Amino acid sequence: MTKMHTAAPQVVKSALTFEVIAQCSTTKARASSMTLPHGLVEAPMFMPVATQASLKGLTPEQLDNLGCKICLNNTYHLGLKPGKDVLDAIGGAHKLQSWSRNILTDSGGFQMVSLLKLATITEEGVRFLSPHDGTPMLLTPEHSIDLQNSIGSDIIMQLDDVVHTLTTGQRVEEAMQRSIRWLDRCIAANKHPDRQNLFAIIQGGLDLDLRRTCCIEMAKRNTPGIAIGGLSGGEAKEEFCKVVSYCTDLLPRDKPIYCMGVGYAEDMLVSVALGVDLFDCVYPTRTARFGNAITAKGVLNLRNKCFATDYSPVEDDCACPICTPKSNGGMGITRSLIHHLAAKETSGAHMLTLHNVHYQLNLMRSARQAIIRDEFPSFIKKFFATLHGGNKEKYPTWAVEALRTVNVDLLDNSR
Amino acid sequence: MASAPPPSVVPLPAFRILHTQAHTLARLGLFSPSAVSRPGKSNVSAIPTPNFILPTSRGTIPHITPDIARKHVDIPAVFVSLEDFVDKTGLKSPVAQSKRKIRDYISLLPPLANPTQQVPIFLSPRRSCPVPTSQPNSENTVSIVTNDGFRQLPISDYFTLVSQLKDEDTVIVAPVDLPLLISPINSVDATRASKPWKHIGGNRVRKMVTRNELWSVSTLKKFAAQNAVIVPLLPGISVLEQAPYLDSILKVEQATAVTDGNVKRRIDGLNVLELASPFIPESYEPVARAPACDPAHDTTLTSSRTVDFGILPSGVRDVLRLNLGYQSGPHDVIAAVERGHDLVCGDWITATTDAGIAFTFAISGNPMSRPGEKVAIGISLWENDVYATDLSPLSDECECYTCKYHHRAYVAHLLAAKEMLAWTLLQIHNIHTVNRFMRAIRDAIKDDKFIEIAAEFRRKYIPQLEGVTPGGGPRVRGYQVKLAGMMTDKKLNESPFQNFSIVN
Repeated sequence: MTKMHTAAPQVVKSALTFEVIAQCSTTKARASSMTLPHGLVEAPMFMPVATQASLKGLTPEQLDNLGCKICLNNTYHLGLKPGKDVLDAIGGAHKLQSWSRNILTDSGGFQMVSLLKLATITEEGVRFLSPHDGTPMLLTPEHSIDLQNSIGSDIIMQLDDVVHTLTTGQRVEEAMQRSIRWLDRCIAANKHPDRQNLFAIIQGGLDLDLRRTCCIEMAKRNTPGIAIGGLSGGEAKEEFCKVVSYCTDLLPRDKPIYCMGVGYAEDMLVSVALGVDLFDCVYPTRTARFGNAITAKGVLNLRNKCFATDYSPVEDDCACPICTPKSNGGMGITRSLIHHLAAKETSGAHMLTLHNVHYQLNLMRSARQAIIRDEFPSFIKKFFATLHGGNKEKYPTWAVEALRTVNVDLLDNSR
Repeated sequence: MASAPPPSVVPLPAFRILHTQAHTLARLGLFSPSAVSRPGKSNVSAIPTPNFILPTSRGTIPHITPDIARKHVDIPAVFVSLEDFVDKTGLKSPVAQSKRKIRDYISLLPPLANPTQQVPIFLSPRRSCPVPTSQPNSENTVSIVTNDGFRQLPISDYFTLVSQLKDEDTVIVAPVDLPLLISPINSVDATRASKPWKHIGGNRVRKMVTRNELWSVSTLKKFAAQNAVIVPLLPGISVLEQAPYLDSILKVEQATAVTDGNVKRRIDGLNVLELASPFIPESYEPVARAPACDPAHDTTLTSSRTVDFGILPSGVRDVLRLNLGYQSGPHDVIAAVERGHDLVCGDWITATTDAGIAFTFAISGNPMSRPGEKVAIGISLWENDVYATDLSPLSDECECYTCKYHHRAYVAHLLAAKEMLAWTLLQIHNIHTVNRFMRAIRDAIKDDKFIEIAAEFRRKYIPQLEGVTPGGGPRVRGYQVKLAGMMTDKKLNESPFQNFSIVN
């Protein structure tokens, strides 16, 4: 360990209550209820990403009707537009977007990965040139928390030193240690611990020893929740699962665990089995704009010619607003109509966004129900069977391996 | 108006005039698309006129999903163009193979507030602002722009498709043969157009009359027994020149009357195409023009750009007048109502939305507070420095979803961030505002106050969108594409990002 943490770690106030409702008797999956300042969030939960205070074409009302209780805003983007002054004048992001449910904001740290070539990271913070107007900017832990205080989100994330997942060597440890020091600065900077929950972010790349150190140190700070960061950046899925499982074993079980940037259905379900509660990803909304529909049987690219004359709903028996038949109060949208509109009219993208976000939310809702009934292992087996049309040869090895570590054998037919 | 046949044997005409103004041609009416086939048993809502119809793009209201449409957007009627649905497979296009009515295919849902009343559909071969085609029409084909490029759609195929897609409440807009199909939509196209679009030559006039006669008569014969049919009034041609055309349309009703015993069918509407383009300064007649009842008006010719209904044969005088021309704002709509038009096309609403502008105009019963000072008809929410922290609704006292739940600051932020929701919220608000405006116009006609209201509106508001600076629009979508000139025109929107080294 290069540098010891001198001062005694500060302990954080919590503005949430977290209660595990049910624990899967086979896997590490759990169903929980988390009460945040803007209402109840039932985990496992997927949190759709409203990057710039708008969920890609959906009105807050539509999002609410999908049963979404918490969405993400991106601190980095809101800091540029509309900016801190405007957010202060308006009174935060809830008021800006008329969203009465919960908001989670990231720290802006993720942008460091994408801006790495332009950024220099020092102990003080991240110095980079604004990609919008080229002015030099400094993102410090204090600045990030200050912005998130202005946004007023219910869950705020610490600024962490993000390195690309595939980085190896000294830099990974440095980033991990620095993230711990930055957490202390973030805790000290948070002006509203009574209504904004600061989450720590576990770093340490794919090195389990570093992850262990980080988990232990960050758990000491007793933040209201803990996130597993630095993943979903192109690492092998086996490595991803190993790190997630390792962290959930070490982290306190009485706090929500949030796996950042995970949004593929298989990844989420395996992570739930490994003990994760919260997820976020732009995937369902972004892929909708490319004309891709996420369904239980896999992703359909509805721009494909074969869907031009396919008059069935986007997904059979789907309860989302677009697939529900008109006779049941839905829109009764066909694949053919989406094909007709995809990439040509924005309303087509909006419809698929509705479907995809519903799919993600509903997947987590059903997983939660299965955990409560203690049927999660069979739920997960059924999910993989449906996704791959019952062909076990198509099951991804990483998922089979990862689930074996939590006593579920996908290839085993019994139970 | 004309000799009304006994109501016991004749279905109600689709259009009824309820009230006329003494000093303008403005009139209050009711258009019931289902009156033709099932009088009294309508399941589409009747359209009180004057009103607007909203053009769809590829069957959807731009920016609006069907769930929002049925909940938050009250649309008097939609305009659907067949060319949006036809591909190179023609009669085998997906929409035709679907065996669904167009209403089902595009999921046009009845309003939640009144679920038994469907939104009327006007089905036309081409868009309301059609893209000029590379090839002209021929006697038997109409030239259209499809997803796969230009096509010649045989009129017979057109009839087959319409028969498959229409339900008994669909309003059929007959195909039109126009030289350039429509006046150039912008000044670039106007200067580029080789043939003068304001004047149509003698041979072309004769061709136009023949073709439109052929097409309109066959459309009437095919569909008029069950559906309301709207046939064109030919623009840029004097009434004398198109007299043979009008005569033959009128004869169709007699022919039907003979063959079909007691059903005396009539045409239900005129598609009034006017050669006026808001982009050409000289063609824009100031809204302060005297009401159209001027007795000194030339009674032998229609103006080259507008139509004087006073000189039309009586048989076509009291039918619905649909104006598919481009209006550039509420002033144009008032002028059209004054000229006796019943339905105007709402392209301008979507265009305003795309420009990031929220309408703030209204017809109020109260006289203007400060005479002489004109205000703009809308605000450009691109002016982020003005509206960034403005928590007021887009326009005062508006009760649309956007104004009830959101504020100027949010829409301004969304525009600055180029988030698609900006245009959704603006579209909801703008449609709502125009609905209120049209309702106020109808009330004014009913109370014989239309002239005063129109004059006051002109005193109060700056015409069009002068003084409102639009920013960029959404990503260019199908309905905005004007193929001609696309290659050379500047991109509509600046690229949001540049090479980093250039910035520094």
